[in-house]
Amino acid sequence: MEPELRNRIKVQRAICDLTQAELAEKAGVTRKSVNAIETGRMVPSVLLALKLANALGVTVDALFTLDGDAPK
Amino acid sequence: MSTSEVFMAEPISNRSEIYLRFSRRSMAVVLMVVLMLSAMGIALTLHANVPKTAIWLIPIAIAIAVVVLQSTTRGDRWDPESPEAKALLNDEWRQANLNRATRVAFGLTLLVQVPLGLLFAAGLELQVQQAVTAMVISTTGFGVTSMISLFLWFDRE
Repeated sequence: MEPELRNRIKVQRAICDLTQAELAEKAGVTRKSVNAIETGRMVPSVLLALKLANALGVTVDALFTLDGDAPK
Repeated sequence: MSTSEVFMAEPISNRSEIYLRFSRRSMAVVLMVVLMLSAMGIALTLHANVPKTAIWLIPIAIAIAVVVLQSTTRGDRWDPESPEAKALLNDEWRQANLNRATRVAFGLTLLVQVPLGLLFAAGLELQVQQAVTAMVISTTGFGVTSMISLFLWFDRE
């Protein structure tokens, strides 16, 4: 069975007190992209994952995990 | 304050939404124009007696659409160098939706060739030149309109 990608963007956003629009602006993407990633409709590229992680001040590992992996 | 100053005073997130709305409405306008052109082309191909004055409806409709689109950006011009425009143009979600819409539209256009061919070649009993012209116009129109429609659907909120 294919492992599924999980993300903690919404949680990290709440910690940083950012709206989707504010996070999108910091990462240089549209709010729809952030929404699509949060809801699992889109798997971001490495570049976008890095931009989101930088915008939230965390590592990519802290944002994205494979199903079954323990969060770092 | 001028409309441009009002626009620039908006929070950037609002400006991104304005650009996004402008982009979607622009595509809807292109969709309408292509539909109108295709319909006009098919009508002229099948019936040479279509009033030529009807052709003037197209530039009038385009002019009205441009005015409506300008109101979306509140009078400010699309600036391709602005961070909001770059975010929109390089957006991965939109690019993924465009790719998906293009693939599906291509498949649908291929599928629709057989019924269109049967319709124009056999069903309507057209001359060869008329049938070919009608096929070209309807295939192009169907391809473009289905691609834009699918993109607007996939990219919806």
